[in-house]
Amino acid sequence: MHDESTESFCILDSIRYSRGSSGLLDYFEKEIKQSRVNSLSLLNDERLQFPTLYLLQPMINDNNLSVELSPRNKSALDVTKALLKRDSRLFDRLSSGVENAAHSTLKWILQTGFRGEPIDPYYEQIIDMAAILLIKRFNDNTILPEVAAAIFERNREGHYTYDLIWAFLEAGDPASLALIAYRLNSGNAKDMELARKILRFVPCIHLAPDADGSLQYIWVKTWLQENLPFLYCTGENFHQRCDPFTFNLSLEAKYLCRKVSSYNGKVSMYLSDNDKLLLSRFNKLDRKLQELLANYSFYLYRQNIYGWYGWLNAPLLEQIKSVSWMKGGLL
Amino acid sequence: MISINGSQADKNTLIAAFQNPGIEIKIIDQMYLSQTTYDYLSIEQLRFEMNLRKAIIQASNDLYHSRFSFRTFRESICNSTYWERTEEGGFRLKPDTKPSEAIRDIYKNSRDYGTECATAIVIIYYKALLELLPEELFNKLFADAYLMNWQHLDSDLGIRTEKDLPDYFPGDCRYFKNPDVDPLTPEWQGENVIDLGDGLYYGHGIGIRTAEQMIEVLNRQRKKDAQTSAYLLNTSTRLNFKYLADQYLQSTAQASAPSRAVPWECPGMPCFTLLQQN
Repeated sequence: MHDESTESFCILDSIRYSRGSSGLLDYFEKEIKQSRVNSLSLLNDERLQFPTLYLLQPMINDNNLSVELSPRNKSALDVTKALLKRDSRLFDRLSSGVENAAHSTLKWILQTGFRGEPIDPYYEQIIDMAAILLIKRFNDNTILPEVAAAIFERNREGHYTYDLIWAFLEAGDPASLALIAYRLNSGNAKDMELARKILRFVPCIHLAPDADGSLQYIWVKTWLQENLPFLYCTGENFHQRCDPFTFNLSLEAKYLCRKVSSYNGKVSMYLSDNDKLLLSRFNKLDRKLQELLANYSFYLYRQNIYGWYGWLNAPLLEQIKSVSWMKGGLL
Repeated sequence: MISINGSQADKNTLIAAFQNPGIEIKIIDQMYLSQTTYDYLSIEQLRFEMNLRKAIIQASNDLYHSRFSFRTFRESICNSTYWERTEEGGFRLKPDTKPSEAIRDIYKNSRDYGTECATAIVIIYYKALLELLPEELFNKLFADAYLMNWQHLDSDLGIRTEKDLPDYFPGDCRYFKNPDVDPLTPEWQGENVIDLGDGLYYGHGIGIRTAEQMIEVLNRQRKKDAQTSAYLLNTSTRLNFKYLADQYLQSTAQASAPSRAVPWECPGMPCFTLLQQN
């Protein structure tokens, strides 16, 4: 049984937490018999959470309460039908003319409903579909913390996670990777295993997959902080392969010290003829050298932008000589 | 180009090593015309790969003609005599159950099974290996089989995905990506397929089609205002043919190779085969 403080919960949620699903159903059954008005008042409490509404749906239907539900609750039950059928046309019809209502309803479903044991086999599907629509239809990345939490909670329990992971990655938000990296430090073996799979593209993960989780967390955090402006989503995921590289680092962008589009990996700003010339020389080098030059370029850029500009436009041989110390002078 | 134990091999000699060659000729021809040299430690190793590719194609055809259904993981089904259906919708081999019998059951009692396309590919791989490997070896290698898309793969399969290869061959697993998929049907975000040769692919849930037909089917599963068509990726997912060949050859005590192939060391490392000296 849930033992959180129930001060911030409405009555029905408090009953659900303290007495479980069957306790909630018993309570509400008695309430309906005593007073329809009171039952509706309990249902239409603004603090109500989605799992409670979902559990009470059969009784709401049996007692014709749906016509008197709050707009949010009505919308949620309608949207649930579309999500259970996985029918986009139905969802469009139900949410037509009230686009913002659909968005806020989905958000409410996800934010109040992603935790805890699934109520029935289809409950998790509703949460997944809500997350997917929020990210892909409404481009709402504010819910990524909840999605990440749901992914790892379900993974620990051995429940299905791949649609949620797909939705999370489809957001294409490199900054959200911090939510995954954090799990490396959790001490939970399943969390760490999944985090390593998703963060496989980070060099310290695929080169040292068995290193201590808390050490990997520090490495990954540092690496992400440095490379965030240059990361883009590859579109690879677990539907396609067992070991996706979910994101990639644009060495071109890092070399020029320009941000990259997180969707397609292209440098965001206009490239001058000089930039294109610099890149055409850069792209002829082998990857190791590209990495060295890109890392050094970004390091210089942060230290001294004027010195960096001079270095970037120097002959390539001079640039390579300047990084030779990084290879122990073997160049 | 094909080389056997470091020496360039004669194509006709290689083809003569196969009884009733069919798809093998096509693959060997393709390897010969390639700019890449395909190295094998022995002709037996090459023969094993060809046989396995042929068996993968056969297993794909057999699965297509069975009653094995397409179902999302939430609604997947399996025969509980051999498999335990897990909470995430995968099929875990039951304790004290022979993997050979469990895999055969999928084909024999196919109407009792249903899942998504990636898991179907793994089933195809197992069935193909079952046709080639001695049963005892198969059961030893795959004693902990767990069928759940590309996850929980047995390391002895050595499954790897690589990009931008110089050549793709019949028996490869390819992927059609559907970037503008309807978000409420994520199972259609792509289709894992087996290249059957002759321009045909088998994908569970779609069937046997040409590339254009696969794309057409996937495009029907896109969102309302879709802009981007589905397309075939430049990737291939393959078994570790050489490692499996070596397991087979050791178990049947055929001609010994001068050195041995081992499983991939770490998933994610660049594709290479470690050679151990005898």
